[in-house]
Amino acid sequence: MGDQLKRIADERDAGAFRSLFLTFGPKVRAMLMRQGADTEMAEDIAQETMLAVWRKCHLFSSDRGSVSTWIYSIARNLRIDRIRRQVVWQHFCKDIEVLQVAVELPDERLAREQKRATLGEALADLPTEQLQIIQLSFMDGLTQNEIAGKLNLPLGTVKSRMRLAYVKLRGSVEGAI
Amino acid sequence: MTIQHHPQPDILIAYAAGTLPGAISCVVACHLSMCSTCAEEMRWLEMLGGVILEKEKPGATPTSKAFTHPAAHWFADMPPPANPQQSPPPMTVGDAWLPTPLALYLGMRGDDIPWKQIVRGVRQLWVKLPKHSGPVRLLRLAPGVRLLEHAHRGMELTLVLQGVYADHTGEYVRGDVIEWAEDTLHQPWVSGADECICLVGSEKMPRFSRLTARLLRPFMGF
Repeated sequence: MGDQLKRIADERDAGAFRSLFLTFGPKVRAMLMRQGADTEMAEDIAQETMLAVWRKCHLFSSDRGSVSTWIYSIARNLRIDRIRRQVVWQHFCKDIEVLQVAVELPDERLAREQKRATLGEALADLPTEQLQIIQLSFMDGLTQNEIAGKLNLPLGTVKSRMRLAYVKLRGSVEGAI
Repeated sequence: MTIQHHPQPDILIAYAAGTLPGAISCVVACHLSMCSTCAEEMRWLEMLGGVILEKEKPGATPTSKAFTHPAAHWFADMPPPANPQQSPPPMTVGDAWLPTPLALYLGMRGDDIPWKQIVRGVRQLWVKLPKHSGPVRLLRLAPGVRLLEHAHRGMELTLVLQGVYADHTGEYVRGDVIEWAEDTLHQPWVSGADECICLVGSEKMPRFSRLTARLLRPFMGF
């Protein structure tokens, strides 16, 4: 996936972009529809997300990875702005493009890829009740109160399950950060 | 001084997922701008968002041909945006106390904040946010000030920006975050000889516990 991005950035390779679009466009759209967007809005935001990738990928220097993290952040920010109609504080806090162009050594890249893989494994290993709450947050975009309502649980239980999940996931990336 | 009190992990998760009320997000963003520990945590939490996105099953709706059709070239002509190094640098915040996200959002420096006195020793500024974000305000408290006892409807997050903020749980300094859950009563005060500035974000308007406080509400801008 890093290679695709390199071709998009260095050669403005439309074919590589199409292929990246085919991988991520429908995923972003599916996520947004789960989060309350209608088909048209979800398609619009998915396209805008991917267009940002096309336009800004030169900031994502050469073969650096974590494409999914980048795409996820762009889509999340567009959702906060368009669907929730709130201020995207994430924009003011940290310029993700600037963060990504920070020089990364090959060792660091390897460590990051490793971290991503172990994070995926740790996610799959979460107890169902914790995984469900993480998914309802990230995939369905529900607030803690909405999760509590949906699962018919006290708010405190939702929070404590989130904290337990955090400790487990954090443990998997420990040392690699 | 090292920051001792950080937002709880569930707040960081909700921020990474983009599901916090706007007022709470504002306080978390300001904390992240001051706290490298939490900023690092945010990096792997956003990576988690990416990992979860990768697992997402694409829906049944066909992908728009506008991008994926081999003959689609319109986007190829879209110019890349200006290099960030060439765009104007972010506003330099001349003050030590106002966090960058808030300075950028307000478009002003700490010195230019149009404080409004609500009672003796207490000045504030409401940060205007879109509907349904919840209230956020900057509070500037003179030494020795004790606030009215109040309970919260929904979560409340306070970030100390200057001075020492105290309540029955302890003392808090710059960068520290204090979280109050729904329906907890507390009565903070300013400790030490300096004035205290803090940023308070809530899910909903606070509820004061005394009748007088309720009568005062119209004058206090609540």
